[in-house]
Amino acid sequence: MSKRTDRELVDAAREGDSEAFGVLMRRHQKRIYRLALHLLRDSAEAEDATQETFVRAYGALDRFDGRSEAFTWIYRIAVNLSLNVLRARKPSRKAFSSDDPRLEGVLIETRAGSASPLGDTENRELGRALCEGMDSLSDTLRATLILVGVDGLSHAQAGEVLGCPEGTVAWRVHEARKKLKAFLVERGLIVRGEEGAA
Amino acid sequence: MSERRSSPDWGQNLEAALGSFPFPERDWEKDALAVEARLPQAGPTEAALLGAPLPSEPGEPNAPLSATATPVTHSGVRPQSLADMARRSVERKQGSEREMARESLALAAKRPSAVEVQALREVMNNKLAAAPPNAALVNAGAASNAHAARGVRVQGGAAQVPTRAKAPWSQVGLAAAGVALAAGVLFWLRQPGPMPPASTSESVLSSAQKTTAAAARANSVAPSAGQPNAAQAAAAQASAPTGVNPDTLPESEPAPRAHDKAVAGNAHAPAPSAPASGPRPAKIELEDEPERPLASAVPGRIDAAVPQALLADPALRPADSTGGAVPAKPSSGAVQAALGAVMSGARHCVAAEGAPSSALVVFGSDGRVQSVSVSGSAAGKPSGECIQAQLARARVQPFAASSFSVSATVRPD
Repeated sequence: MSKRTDRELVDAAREGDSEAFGVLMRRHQKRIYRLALHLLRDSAEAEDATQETFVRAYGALDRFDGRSEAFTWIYRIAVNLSLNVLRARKPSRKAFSSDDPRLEGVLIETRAGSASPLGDTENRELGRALCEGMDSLSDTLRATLILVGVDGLSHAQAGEVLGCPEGTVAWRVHEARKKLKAFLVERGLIVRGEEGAA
Repeated sequence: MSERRSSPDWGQNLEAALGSFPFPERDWEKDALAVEARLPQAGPTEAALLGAPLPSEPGEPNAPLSATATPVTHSGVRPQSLADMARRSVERKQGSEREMARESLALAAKRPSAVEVQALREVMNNKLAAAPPNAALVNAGAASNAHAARGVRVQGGAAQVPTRAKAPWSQVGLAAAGVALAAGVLFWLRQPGPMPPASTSESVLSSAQKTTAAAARANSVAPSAGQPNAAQAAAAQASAPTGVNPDTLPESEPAPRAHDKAVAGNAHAPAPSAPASGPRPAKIELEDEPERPLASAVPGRIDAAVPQALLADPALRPADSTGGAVPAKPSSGAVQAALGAVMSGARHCVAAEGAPSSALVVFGSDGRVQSVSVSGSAAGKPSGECIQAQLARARVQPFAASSFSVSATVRPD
């Protein structure tokens, strides 16, 4: 049996085929979890948000009009739910902690022209700096950068998720990179003279 | 990370670091089952969860279409997308080029002024008075050629002139005119650019031949000085053509170009009118502009022809765009995949070790591993050599840089 497309699975789920929705969920749950993890920076909350995303998507299947990809539609629900969680958080909660789940499993860092090995400590330091830099961005810029930079969505797909034109996505990614670089310059991780090259 | 990074690879390092952000594995099936257990109790979903999630950023160029907007087309392309804007820009440019071509045609088909006609008549009279009749024929033929080759359609008034037996000089004149026309057409055909429609070429050619023949017949009818008016009438008819309405011509009709070539071919002929010898309108010079691709400026190096400011910032490229060329460095995904393929073997090497070891893998530009340096608990041991042998099997795609180093941690199984 050939692999069914997302659209076919959604159509089947609308007809009451819960197994089809299970296939759709297993196909996309990793990406949704990764998105929620980067937005929420908390494994438990990301797990809850992922589950809630699929439950809400199932409840809204009749309202999926098919004008966008099914996974971008689910992404949009995930972003909305994650933002709701962030807004409900206590403001005193620390944005970044040393046991940030995003830093788990940092093993490999690529670097051209390096003559000396980079150990785990340096990799973790890079990851930590990037996480802190991303946390310093606004929700809008951070979500856009995560969708495009981390999750690898195209600008068109990110535009579908965020409900904005591709040009806006491109501008947000550019702004996010610029601010991220300024953050790293401020931390002394890159030299100041390179700031304009971003 | 305390080490400072150099500017050229900063953007790509950031790209790679973002794209290869860690992703802890979970028991996905357990999560899926938990969701499936909740599905029967799934209630209605609030509309707010399906709307556009984020507010605009200050300074954003385009505001979101609407708070609840969903993509408009199946392809996800919105009316305000960059692709649409580019498409509209190209259409506008094509429209302006079309308009420019029409204006050029109108200029080329412009009826000669009375002064120009008078000047031509004086030239013809002088020639007829001073030269033998056959010279007038050549001049008249050349003059009418010049007009005919401009794409001017001459109505068949000259055909009403009665004909007589042809003189040998008239045949020479015809042959000269034909050779000049052929040379002009040949020269024009050798120029780069789109071929005009066949009907256009034929109409230009036939009108030129018709005019030449009419002039020749007129001259042969009136060889004596007592009847110069027939040749003058033919020349006058040729020099006072009916105007062409550019709207009735094909849009791509290259009349200005045909005119140029014919004039070049008839260089010996006297200039019949000011528009033929005067400077061409500047807009005609733009005719070939769209046909020159940027890449042709310097073959094989398009970036040399493009101003540096117009080249895309490498840091802004999408994560997966390689442009089809050899990448400067292998992507982080490719490196991870290459190392992941051999990592299980390397882990077996340190199964007996208690602590993880680090390895620095250096890829050469051909994608093969040049060297593997092992540090940590396995260094200097057989297990270190085993790691070296295992990791040396990794392969990535060829890349432009001379080498590429990757640090990997090998943990025991």
